Amino acid sequence: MLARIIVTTIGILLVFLVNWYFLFSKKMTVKKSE
Amino acid sequence: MVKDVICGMDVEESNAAGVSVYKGKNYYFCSTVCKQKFDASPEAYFKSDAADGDERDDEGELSVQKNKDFEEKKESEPILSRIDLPILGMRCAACASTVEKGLSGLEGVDTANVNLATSQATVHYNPLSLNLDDFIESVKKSGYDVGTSSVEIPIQGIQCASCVQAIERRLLQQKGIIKAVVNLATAKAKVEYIPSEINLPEIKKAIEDTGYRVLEIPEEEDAVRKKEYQDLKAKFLTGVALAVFIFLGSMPHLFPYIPDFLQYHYVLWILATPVQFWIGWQFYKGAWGAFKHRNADMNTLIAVGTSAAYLYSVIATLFPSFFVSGGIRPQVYFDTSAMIIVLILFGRLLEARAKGRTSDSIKKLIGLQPKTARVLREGQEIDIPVRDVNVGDVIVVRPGEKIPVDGTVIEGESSVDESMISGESLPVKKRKKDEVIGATLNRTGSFRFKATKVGKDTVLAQIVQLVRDAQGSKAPIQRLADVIAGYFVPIVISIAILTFVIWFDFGPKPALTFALLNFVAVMIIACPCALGLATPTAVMVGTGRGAESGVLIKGGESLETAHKLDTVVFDKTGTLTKGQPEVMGLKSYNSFSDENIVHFAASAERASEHPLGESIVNRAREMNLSLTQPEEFRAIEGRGIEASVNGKKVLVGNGEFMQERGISVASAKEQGRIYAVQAQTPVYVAVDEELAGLLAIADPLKDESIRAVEKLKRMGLEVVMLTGDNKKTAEAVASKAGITRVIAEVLPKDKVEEIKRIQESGKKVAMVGDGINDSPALAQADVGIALGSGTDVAMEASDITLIKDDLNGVAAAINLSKKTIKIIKQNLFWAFVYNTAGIPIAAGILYPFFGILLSPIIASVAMAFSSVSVVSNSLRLKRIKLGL
Repeated sequence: MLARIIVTTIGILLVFLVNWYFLFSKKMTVKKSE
Repeated sequence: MVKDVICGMDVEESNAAGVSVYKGKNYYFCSTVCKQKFDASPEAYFKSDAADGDERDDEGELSVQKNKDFEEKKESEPILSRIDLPILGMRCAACASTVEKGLSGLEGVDTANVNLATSQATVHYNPLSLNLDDFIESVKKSGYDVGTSSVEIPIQGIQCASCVQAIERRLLQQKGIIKAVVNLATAKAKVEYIPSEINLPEIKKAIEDTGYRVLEIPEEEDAVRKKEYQDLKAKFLTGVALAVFIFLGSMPHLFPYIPDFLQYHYVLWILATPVQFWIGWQFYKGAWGAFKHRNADMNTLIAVGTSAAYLYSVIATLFPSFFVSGGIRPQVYFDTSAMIIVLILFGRLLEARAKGRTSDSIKKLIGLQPKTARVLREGQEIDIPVRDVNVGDVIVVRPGEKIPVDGTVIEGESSVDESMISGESLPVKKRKKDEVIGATLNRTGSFRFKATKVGKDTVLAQIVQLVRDAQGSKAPIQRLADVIAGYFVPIVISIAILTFVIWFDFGPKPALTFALLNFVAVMIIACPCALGLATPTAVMVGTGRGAESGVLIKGGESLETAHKLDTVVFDKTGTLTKGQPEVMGLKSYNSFSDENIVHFAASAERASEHPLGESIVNRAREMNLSLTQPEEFRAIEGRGIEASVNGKKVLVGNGEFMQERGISVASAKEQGRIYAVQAQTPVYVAVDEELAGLLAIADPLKDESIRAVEKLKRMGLEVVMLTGDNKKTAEAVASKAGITRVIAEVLPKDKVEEIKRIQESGKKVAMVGDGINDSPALAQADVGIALGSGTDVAMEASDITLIKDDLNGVAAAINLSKKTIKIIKQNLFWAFVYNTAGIPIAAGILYPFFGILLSPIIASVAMAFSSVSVVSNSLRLKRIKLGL
């Protein structure tokens, strides 16, 4: 059970991080070149 | 102990190799070379000492010195500087924006523009706060490299160790030189430099400025791109060799005669590792560079996808029991990762080759300039390198020679072929006070001229700069696949992670095996092979199909842009028209026959170099008339010619000329007016004081011009004519060709501005032209289309070349572009259908209902199939009709 909780938490965290890092945070960065 | 003023070396007065007295003071030297240099022009050394006297006293590190030079420069040059840096390793628009972002982020950078097509970054910066090393560091931080060249230059006369320092210091003062190391033992300077900032002759000049002689200058080549291409090729070939063995070993059921050892997982692992981490290193490097800037591009997909297959296979090799315990045969996918890497590398190899050609137009332009000039110095004619010519030098030019620099004729006369600069095919008469342009060809006479513009100020150098700027200012086209990949990659990774979590939490036992397998299956089926092939295969087949029909397309970018065009601008002379005046109409008067008129006029014009005269002579040739040599000949400027043919007095010229000579042209006046309205020049011919005939001369439209324009209009494109001609003539020609919008009286150098103006109104513009004078406009246009009959430079500056010189090729090229883009979109669609349909299946969505699981093997087959379908779809382009 503990393993499941750990894997689920890490998984959700990773998904969040991947999307935040590549997609959402990027939109907040103003591109100087544009 | 004193200092040698030449090289800065400390010299014992008693041991000095030489001593000289200047202005009552003794100067000691380390060697006779230094003494000789000093004695030759002592004042020169004091002048330079005054400028950088401190530097000679400084014995510190060279890099420190370089920064010091920067400091000195800073005070005298507070304005913005510009630097062009070649960037290596950029593959996609996302890479370009990564580099751009890095450079823009540097404090002191005003603007940074990175062009993917030319692989070049143009930075405007404040030299007070930045130097070259900062830019190189920034580019490296972004995961790319600055393309530098290095060269070994043999130098004569280096005798003392401190001569070495003098040369090194001088070299490091030059903008664009990164490293300069002079080896005393080999007497060679090894210089690392940025080719776009400084070239070999400039480096050579810098060395010679210090008083040493450069023995021979090695051939300058585009070493940067060449090296990149060679490296890529070596990796690709090694990759192919390894991948073939991996593939054979992985498919024993297809190749039963393969030796057993090749099927061992450990052997496959050994073979696949260099492919993954040496050949495929650039994907990791690119992915990491993009990752640091929060981008996910093709490199990320390739790196993650192949790594997943590779890591899975490594685990299956090391811990087969882990899979067996889950009831699954431990399978390896080394072939999948290796094949993907090799295939993608192949695409990049083709791309690198095409990219190497982007700078050819500049090289060709520079190549137009002759290497030496015959200069008059102290009453003697001496040949010197063109770069040593100074303003005010008197230069001697003989028939058949190229004019080295711009200037004004001071003696003699000749006709000069300026076609390489102006596109005008007829020679131009040059006499005293006329201006001559460097790189043009002297044809008949000898003359002397005074140089007025040299180096970067010449017309040719300015055209080079225009082409360079136009090429550099082009906005990089955002590749569709990259945009989609930007979203696709993070989504795929998310799905894969979720798949792992769900299978781990809720899947049957052994949960970890199922979780891992499905995670990898998602990664493999989402592997971007089809996505990566979608664009390049279509572009390859499309450009190949174009080439078969005489439409040469320079790279995928032009092909991609051409479909968006909405305006086509034609140059007039030589493009829409034949570029050679012809006799279009002929009318005889007063009992003269047509043959008679042409015979007299052509015989009289034989000695003339006027373009109109040439057209009359051509007409006589067409009519098989034999011409006689005129006994007398006189050209009257702006009027016509006067000659004596077979004892008869022949006048050929305009209406005013006839009136001045008292010849009545009343009977022909109406006809003359009709010709003039049709943009034809009326030329009157009189024989023995009597009007004999009227010729209409014009530069006629090409046979296909009308059809070609009509085709473009039918395609919904606006057609514009751009010409230096007067408005009346231009409009008459345009209306014949069916063109309604005319931009007339445009000087060659203003053509770029006109193109820019149209672009600013939001249009995508194609420019069709043939001359060198068109090349800046060709480069500025979104798509530059050059005619095969035109100059090489125009062709190089353009994106598309019509080899057959047929204007219908313009419509064909746009058509081809539209069809190719359609295919690319279909490809991308199918690539995504495979992925979007395959990903949920790979994730195991069917398992709860039907018990179906997609093994990574099936996933890789599906992926291969999607690649095959994409390639087959691209091959359809081979069969399309272009309407040529």
